[in-house]
Amino acid sequence: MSNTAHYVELIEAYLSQSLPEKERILFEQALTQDPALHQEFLFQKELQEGIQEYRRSELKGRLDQINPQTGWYPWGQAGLLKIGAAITGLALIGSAFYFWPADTEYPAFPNLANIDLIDQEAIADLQPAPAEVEIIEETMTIPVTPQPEGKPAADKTITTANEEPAPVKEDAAEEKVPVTEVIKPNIVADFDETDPNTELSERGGSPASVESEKIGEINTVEVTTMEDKKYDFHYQFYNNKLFLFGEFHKVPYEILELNHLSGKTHYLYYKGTYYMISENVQEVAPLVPIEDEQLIKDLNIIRRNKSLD
Amino acid sequence: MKDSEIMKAISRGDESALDYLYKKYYRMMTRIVLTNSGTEDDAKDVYQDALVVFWQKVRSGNLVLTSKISTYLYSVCLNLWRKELDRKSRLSHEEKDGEVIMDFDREERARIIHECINDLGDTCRKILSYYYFDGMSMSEIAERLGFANTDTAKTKKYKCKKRLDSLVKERYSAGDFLD
Repeated sequence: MSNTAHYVELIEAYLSQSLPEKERILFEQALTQDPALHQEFLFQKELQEGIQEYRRSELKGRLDQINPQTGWYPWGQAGLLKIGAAITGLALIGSAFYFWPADTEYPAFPNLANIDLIDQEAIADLQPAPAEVEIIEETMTIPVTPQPEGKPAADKTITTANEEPAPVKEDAAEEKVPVTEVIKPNIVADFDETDPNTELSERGGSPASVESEKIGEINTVEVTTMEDKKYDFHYQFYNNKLFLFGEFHKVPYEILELNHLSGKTHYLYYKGTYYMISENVQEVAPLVPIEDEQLIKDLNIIRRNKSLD
Repeated sequence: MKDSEIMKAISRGDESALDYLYKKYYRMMTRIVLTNSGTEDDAKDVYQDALVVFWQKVRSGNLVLTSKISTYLYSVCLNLWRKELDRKSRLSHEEKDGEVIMDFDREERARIIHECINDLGDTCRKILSYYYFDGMSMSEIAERLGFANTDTAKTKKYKCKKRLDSLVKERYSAGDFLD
């Protein structure tokens, strides 16, 4: 075998079946007559198979890193995102109808109406939610607090950097509650990836600093954390504004927002425990831990799944 | 994600499309094996193999899909598992007859090649994988790896392959695999 490079080229062409018919026949004849060529042919074939096997195991290794059990939904993950997107679209269209013409009053809680005017303008009509909605896997049902008829539901809006959150009053008769920060967390953020202290300090600046969201994570809730001697671990939630009372600055928390066909359900994840966030809680209410084991299991799956994304 | 979008993503070498498929149809595909006397590990292995086959077919442009991806994957899984069952059955007969002939030399040579590929640089590994497994053209490789042009990719591929040839031959000689 005098010209190895030429042989290698020929062998590669033969193996990739790109040799013309005549040359292929000649090559096969040469293989039977030239032992050196035959040996080189076997070597090159083995080498190519080795490279292919290497790549195969590389791809399989990649798949091995995935936990397929956590990421499965009967309608696929995209389905969940589509439902969320559809609800947002519906809410936007609804808000256009609802606020036309623009002279609108905010009957309830005028003391909170000034916090974020743009959020108020995005309020939209939604149909009352059914008592239970199938949401994750075939067996999982998550109770949804029905919305009163005609109750506007809010949608995600953008709060600009110029908009400073105004102080909030509980009630005219009650003492003033200082607003410590207004943040818009990324729903189901993976706190494990960042230092909680750093994250809080970064997020605590302006509301606009935490505007960015992943596609599909329809972040519609504006979260305000407060410290109040009277309410050590409570919440208030209406008009898509969630007020958390307690020491939420010290430990990271997550708001899980689950979109489904008839609305949204929110859960708070804090110090390893889930709490139900009921809608339209106009009076400050204590945060009660969820005890339903199946629901906790499902929420864990959703959290884990989101952290993989 | 629609089937057409997945096909496009794989065509352009987006490996996350494979991850998506893996998660999406995991239960459906592994059920084939699990309900036919296979273990969870067997099922996982077969499904991963099926996905790799699918990947390679799409990447090489040799697949004209006339059904849904799930249907295609299902049939590949079924075939792979049948083959595996046949192989196991043959192996068990050979064991009974005392005819187990393990090709240790072949396994050893495969291990050597694997090690030599590991010894190559990352760029070489990618060039050779893309060319010999994914069936990418030189212009695609050049674009993907940011080479100046196709000729640069060709030269690099030639050098990487030559380097691998000599690394493997060296170790083959040391192991008496070459005459």
